[in-house]
Amino acid sequence: MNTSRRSYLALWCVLSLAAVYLLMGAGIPWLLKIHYERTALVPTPSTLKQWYMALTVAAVLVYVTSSPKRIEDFFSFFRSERGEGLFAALRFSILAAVPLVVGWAVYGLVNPGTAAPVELRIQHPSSVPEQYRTLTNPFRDPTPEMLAAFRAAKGLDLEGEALRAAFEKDCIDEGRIHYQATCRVCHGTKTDGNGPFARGYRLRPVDFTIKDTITTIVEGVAFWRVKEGGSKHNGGGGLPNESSPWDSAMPAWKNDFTDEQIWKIIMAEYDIAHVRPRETEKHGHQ
Amino acid sequence: MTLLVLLTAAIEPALAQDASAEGPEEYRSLPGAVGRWVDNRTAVWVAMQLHLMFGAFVLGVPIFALIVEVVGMTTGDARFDRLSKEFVKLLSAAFSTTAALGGLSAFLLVGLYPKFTQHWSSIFHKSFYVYGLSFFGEAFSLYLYYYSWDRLKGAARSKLSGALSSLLLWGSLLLLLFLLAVSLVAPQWVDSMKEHPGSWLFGLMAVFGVGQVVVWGACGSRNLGSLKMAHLGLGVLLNFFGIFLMVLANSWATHMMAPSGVSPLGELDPKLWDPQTKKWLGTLWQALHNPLWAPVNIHRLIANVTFGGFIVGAYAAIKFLTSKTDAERSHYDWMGYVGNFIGIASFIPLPFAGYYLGREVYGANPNMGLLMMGGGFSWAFIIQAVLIGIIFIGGNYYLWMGMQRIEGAERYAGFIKFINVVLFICFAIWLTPHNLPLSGEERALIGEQYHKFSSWFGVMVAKNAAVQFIILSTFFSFLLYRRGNKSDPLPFREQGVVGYVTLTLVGALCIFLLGRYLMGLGLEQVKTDDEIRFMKHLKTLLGVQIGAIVAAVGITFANRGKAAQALLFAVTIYSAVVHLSAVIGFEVMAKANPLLRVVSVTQVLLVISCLISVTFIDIFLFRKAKSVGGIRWGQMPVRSQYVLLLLCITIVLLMGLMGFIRSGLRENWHTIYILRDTSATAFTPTYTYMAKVVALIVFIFLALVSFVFWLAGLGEHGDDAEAAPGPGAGRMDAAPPSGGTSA
Repeated sequence: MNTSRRSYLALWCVLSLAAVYLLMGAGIPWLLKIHYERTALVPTPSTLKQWYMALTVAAVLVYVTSSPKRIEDFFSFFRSERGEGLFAALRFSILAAVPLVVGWAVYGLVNPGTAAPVELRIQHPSSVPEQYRTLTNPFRDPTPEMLAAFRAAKGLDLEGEALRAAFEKDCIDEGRIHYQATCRVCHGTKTDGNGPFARGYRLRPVDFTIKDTITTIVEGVAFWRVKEGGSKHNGGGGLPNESSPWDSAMPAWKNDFTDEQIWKIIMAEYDIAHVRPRETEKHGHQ
Repeated sequence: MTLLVLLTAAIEPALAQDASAEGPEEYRSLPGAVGRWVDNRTAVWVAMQLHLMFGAFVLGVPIFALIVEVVGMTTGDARFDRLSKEFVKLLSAAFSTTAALGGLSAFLLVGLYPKFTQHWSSIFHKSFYVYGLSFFGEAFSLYLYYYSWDRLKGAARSKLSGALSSLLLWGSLLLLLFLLAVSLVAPQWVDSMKEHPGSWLFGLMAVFGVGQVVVWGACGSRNLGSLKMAHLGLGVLLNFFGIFLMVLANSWATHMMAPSGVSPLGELDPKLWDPQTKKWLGTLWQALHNPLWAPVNIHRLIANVTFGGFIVGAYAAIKFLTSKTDAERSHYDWMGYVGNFIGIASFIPLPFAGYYLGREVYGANPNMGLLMMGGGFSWAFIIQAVLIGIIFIGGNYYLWMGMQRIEGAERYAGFIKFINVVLFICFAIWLTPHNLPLSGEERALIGEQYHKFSSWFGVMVAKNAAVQFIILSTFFSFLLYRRGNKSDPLPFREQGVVGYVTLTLVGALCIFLLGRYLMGLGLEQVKTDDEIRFMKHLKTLLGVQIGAIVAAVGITFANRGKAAQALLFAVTIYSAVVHLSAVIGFEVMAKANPLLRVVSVTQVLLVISCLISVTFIDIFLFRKAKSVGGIRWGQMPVRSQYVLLLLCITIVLLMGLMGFIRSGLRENWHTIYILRDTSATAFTPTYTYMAKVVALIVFIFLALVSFVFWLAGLGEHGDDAEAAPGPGAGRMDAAPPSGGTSA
């Protein structure tokens, strides 16, 4: 009989599995609800729950089998000579729970349900049309001619950086006007995806203010999304087929705005969201 | 390892021709029934990937075989010499298969993709001849290295052979000094030499000279008269040719992904490309020196060593499982341990190299970067994460089991549970995708694009932090293993001047690395207030790390080496894992993404400086320390050997997967923005198809390699396993005794 502290190893393993399961199923959803002031629990996606549970089981197996002593400690818990009373009840409960949990899992897998199928979302579809891959925003790096024309049109007496800054501000201001007039109803005044229409969509409009949306793409991709829209049924090229389960309601704006206006709207979006587009990096090989 | 060339070029999920080009035939098909069942892409893909895998083995093994031979030479322990020879025996058997696969790959490419090969050879044909000739060098140096093993040992029997040995050493030294002087006095001359045909030979000699000097330096002057030095010279030559061939072939492949003279947005440099005909106008060197060449070279070089290590580990595992005597089990247990050690030790820096390559892919073509990490190939990286996780956890698991055979290691058993928890939590983060499968109900309840797990763990900032922590944890496992049977450290003064000088130099080296980068981080390079703020953070972290290293060296001198190691671990974990992710990492991503490159380099430097410093502190901490027990070599559970097999299969799968990603990223281009793929198989295959092809490749490779190793063992007389005895310690240089236990 092993009387060392390690002899509770099996119990620790079971508790670890239960703790991770409860954390995924209840703890995290509850914490997210409180922290983000939601009205309902925010569920952990079932795919992730399965993965994390599988990893926990693997972690337990790896630890227990990493030495003969641990294997011995693990199984010693289930030997009858270990103790009576509460200890025996605990042991019996765990042994009884194993087939019950397995049975429950099997039932969950085979029981026919009515849930919609799980769908995979591709954030950046692989087939960005080639004509958009190489585009850059002409207003980010204006030519001297563009600046001179701007100065003449506005009657400004500015040079160098000051002129350039005024040019950029003018572009953003124009973009803001278009944005607030057309994009705001879905994407929200602050570009946080909380416009008045936002709740009406199956897929909510993108929140531009968080770190992992428009900051991860170059502006050419943003231009494509604005110009062609998300659905093939609203006048634009839409998203490629691989994204069809996630067809968005984003309209194609190519018939309403010129390319120049779209570039300025994109500049305004980044500016309002206080984020920056992914920049093309320089490398010294050319 | 014949045409490593095509190796890469053609792991090819997409090869073909330019719409603008005209010519007789763009594509051909395989003849007869084969052509109806196997399309061009799959045929070239399978052949090239198999060639690449054999090539990786044939290039990786000589690197560590030479190192093990040097260890044998410096320690005077013949068992290392025999182990090294056993490695090279496997190499010798695999070499001709590699060459045959290279030939097959080249013929398939030329036969099935005539127009592409015409375009490709019009740019690179001069390098083909160099490649072919160098292959002779590789073949002859390998056979010389292997077959002269028993002849080239002991003292030189004639003045002539002694003189030749000296000539090699002093000639190499003089050549290096000459090159150094030239590059200092006339750097423009060195630059202009890049285009001069003779400069290639010159440069190659310089590289060879460096290799020679390093090996000779490691062996010490006392061995100068030994013929073994000449044998080591052959080993250097073998590695030199192998690496040269790999580097040359890599450039052909990276040219297809990111050709020189093509901007990230597809604009052609008129000096290098004719904008109308897309004909190459530049020099061979300019074509070779394309943006992804260097990162792929580094990544593949390290990966080849890892690959070779795990293959050797699996070979030893099979031998262990089929051993009939304790001596055999002892020997192959040791060999398996060395294989795992090499595999994991070289795997540790691989994420750094991989991240560097990834960054350069973004730099060369941002859309390709997005496609890779956030687009159609992103799920391949989830599979990659699983495989990498298996390798790290499997490697640790093997080490933990190995600690059972070390008397005294039970003192450190308590740490294992914490390392295990860290590894699996980091693995979970590493695995969490940004794009997640969701049910309709889940989408409705989550109410936004991403669940918070995906939003936080699914981006590179979190994954980088996780992988740094995995690396530090694995390194910690190594440290525990190393000190398993060591008593308490001796006072540092017992290490003598060598200890003080070495540790000071190592500290200085780390400080130089960190300081040099720190000094280069000028605030004038950044534009916005946010960037300035983040830059100050980075400079502070680098400064703190320098301070920690200075303090750690001082504390070690004051006989508190373990405290010094703890300090370095604590500072590095906070800086590289916590601060550069949770504190500023995500903010940098949103507000100053051009700084992400600086963040990642800083992260890598912090971790590398920690690994180097702690390793050397550890060496002097336990050097000359008393042993509290031996190692019972051969007494490993059977499951440990299956872990070695799992590691081997996993690394082969990983290499197959990465081959698909690297080549597939070009989508419907043979050469990005230059030569379009217009073949019927220009589309990116589905994951299901990819998985089937990669599985087939892995199966064929493992079957072939097993067959080849079986062939290599046909002539064995069973005396190899007798190599063993010696004092045991928990290190690679601790060979087993013949009885299986060392004390």
